[in-house]
Amino acid sequence: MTDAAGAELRYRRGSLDGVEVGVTSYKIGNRYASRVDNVDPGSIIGRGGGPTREAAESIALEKASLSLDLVRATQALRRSVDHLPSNADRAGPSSSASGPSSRPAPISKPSPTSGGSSPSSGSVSPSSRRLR
Amino acid sequence: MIAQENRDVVVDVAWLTQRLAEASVRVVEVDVDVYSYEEGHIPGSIAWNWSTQLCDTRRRDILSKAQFEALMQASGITPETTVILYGDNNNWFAAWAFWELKIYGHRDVRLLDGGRRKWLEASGLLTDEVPAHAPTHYQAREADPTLRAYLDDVKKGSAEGSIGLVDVRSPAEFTGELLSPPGLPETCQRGGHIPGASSIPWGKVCKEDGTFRSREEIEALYAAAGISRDKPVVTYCRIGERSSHSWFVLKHLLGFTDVKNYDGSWTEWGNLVGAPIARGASAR
Repeated sequence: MTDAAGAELRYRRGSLDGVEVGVTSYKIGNRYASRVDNVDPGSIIGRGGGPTREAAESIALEKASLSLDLVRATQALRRSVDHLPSNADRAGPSSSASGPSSRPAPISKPSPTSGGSSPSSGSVSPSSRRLR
Repeated sequence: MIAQENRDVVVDVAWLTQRLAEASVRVVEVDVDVYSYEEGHIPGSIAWNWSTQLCDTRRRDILSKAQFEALMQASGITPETTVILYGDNNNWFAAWAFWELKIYGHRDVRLLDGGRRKWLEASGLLTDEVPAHAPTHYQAREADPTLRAYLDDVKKGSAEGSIGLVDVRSPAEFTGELLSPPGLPETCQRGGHIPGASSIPWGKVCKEDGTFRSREEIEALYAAAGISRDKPVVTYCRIGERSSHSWFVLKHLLGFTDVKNYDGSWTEWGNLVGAPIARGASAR
């Protein structure tokens, strides 16, 4: 039984990597638990635990930052693929007469600046992660 | 303060604290964050995992009647049990469970006002002990079709303007600026909303501490968006869970008689070939 009368619940809001987030932390037994949510709708995007509130929140914020980066990277990749020219766009008007033996045109690589952040951007150590 | 007329569907911390030991009451935690229960929960409560226990993971559907009965039996719930649901984030997924219990006709199911957060604030009493309940026999009713909207209902209602369509997602999802909330995967091909829908974000009915606003405030919120009792109302969001919360509010707090939750929601509509969509702000 880890009853904890008065869980020292704390909730605050702030900005993490440009996204509004909520940070909840509370005490369970002799440890702290923390959750970071995306405010609207409030999905959990990071969680952490530790011997102090600060440690628990730091871990949760680090994981939340990673979650945001991963989703942004996935979205950027998807949009880059969506914007790749189709076969018809690449081959031009004479392609239909070139027959089945024609070699496929090279696929242009998406620009690194075509949207979103790279998977590594925003990656920081837990100790430097701060809610703004 | 819970209005007297809502006590059959919403309870507060004081009410629950006095009844934790009653065998006729079963407390169930249903969280967005499925790991919260393991860390600590209301003494005597059990947990349902929304992603595995409250849906058929193969059909993208709610539980079948047989699956629902099996869950109730394993949870030690009988048709006479008072089920108290609570969870994180304003009872978001607890409301989803409430909707599902009502679909299968469970008579007495209620939400803990303010959910897990309010419990932590007001009581703080947590345990990591997982109770064992003897299996029961549970026979559910046939699914109530008046509580759930399907694609064809929404297609017809949107085209004819015959339903009050409530989009409960964030304004940025409604306008099409975002395909999903920050940090969550995109589940649709297009952004926007179903033509004719009004934007009433689900969380607006709750106060900062997660408890429900007054009936007058909630009535005013919906009236300002043009949602009235004059025609059937359908709520939707991205995957149907946020909208179950709004469904609960309209059906059980405001007493609208004809309210359905469209759990196909934007994930279905936004991916549908040929379905019309609207972008930008609502006409209102």
